[in-house]
Amino acid sequence: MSQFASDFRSFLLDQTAIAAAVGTHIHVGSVPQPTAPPYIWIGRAGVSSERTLDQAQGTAPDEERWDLEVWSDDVGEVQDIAELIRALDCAKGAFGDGTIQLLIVEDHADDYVPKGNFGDEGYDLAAFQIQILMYSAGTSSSSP
Amino acid sequence: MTAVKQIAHGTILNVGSTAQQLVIGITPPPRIRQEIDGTALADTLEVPLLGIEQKSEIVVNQFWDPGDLNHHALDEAFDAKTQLTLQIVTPHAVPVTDEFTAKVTKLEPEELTVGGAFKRKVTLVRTGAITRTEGSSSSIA
Repeated sequence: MSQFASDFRSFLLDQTAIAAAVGTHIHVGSVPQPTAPPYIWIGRAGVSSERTLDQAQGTAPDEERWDLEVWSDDVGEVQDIAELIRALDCAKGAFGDGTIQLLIVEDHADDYVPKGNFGDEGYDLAAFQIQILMYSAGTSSSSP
Repeated sequence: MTAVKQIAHGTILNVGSTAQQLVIGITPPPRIRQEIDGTALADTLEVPLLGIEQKSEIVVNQFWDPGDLNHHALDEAFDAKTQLTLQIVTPHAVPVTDEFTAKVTKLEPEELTVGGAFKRKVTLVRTGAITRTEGSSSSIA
């Protein structure tokens, strides 16, 4: 798992209400089977930077874009957790072992194709695009 | 020698003796001569006489950090109308340095948006001829 992904997962788990709702069921990239709902899936959608003439190789991107999906077999539960995700809009500061300058939460469009569940259990879903701006890894960070 | 395309990443803008950091783009000062009409009645083609070199501007777009001493130096130069010595050092295999003097005429911050960074456009008017040298060694003390 990349350091950013690890910090993103830690950031979500640091949110008391989210951790209370999903426990440790915040999964990056793939969801282990079996996993009881509810759970959150996150996956990187892309990164971007506005580069400078003196930019050093390996400089962290200005912006990380991640997909975040909330899955449950209870639509009410999905909406409750979705509200907790929306409440993260404009978060800043500590982000796992690192820091961020801003986090922006947007609902995904209706034509978004979810990636966190390919089963036929009839789960409900809330999907978001998360923008994280100006992430800095912590000095003590290391990939798990 | 075969001409080689060179991308601009790695170009250095020295102001005084220090490099400006977080520069997004530079429009170097153009060199334009005054064209003077010298058309005579018998002429069949208009060919202007070339006069003196015109003033020109250098435009620098940068991420703006007001706490950075080199960025702040541009603000101070604007306030005091100080003449600065600038160098644009290219990233070619054999760098080329254009050196000239200039004064800051405009400091234009960009719109501040929620997810956008602090940026500004700095415009300087050239006050001296451009001296071009090969190599990146600085003549600025």
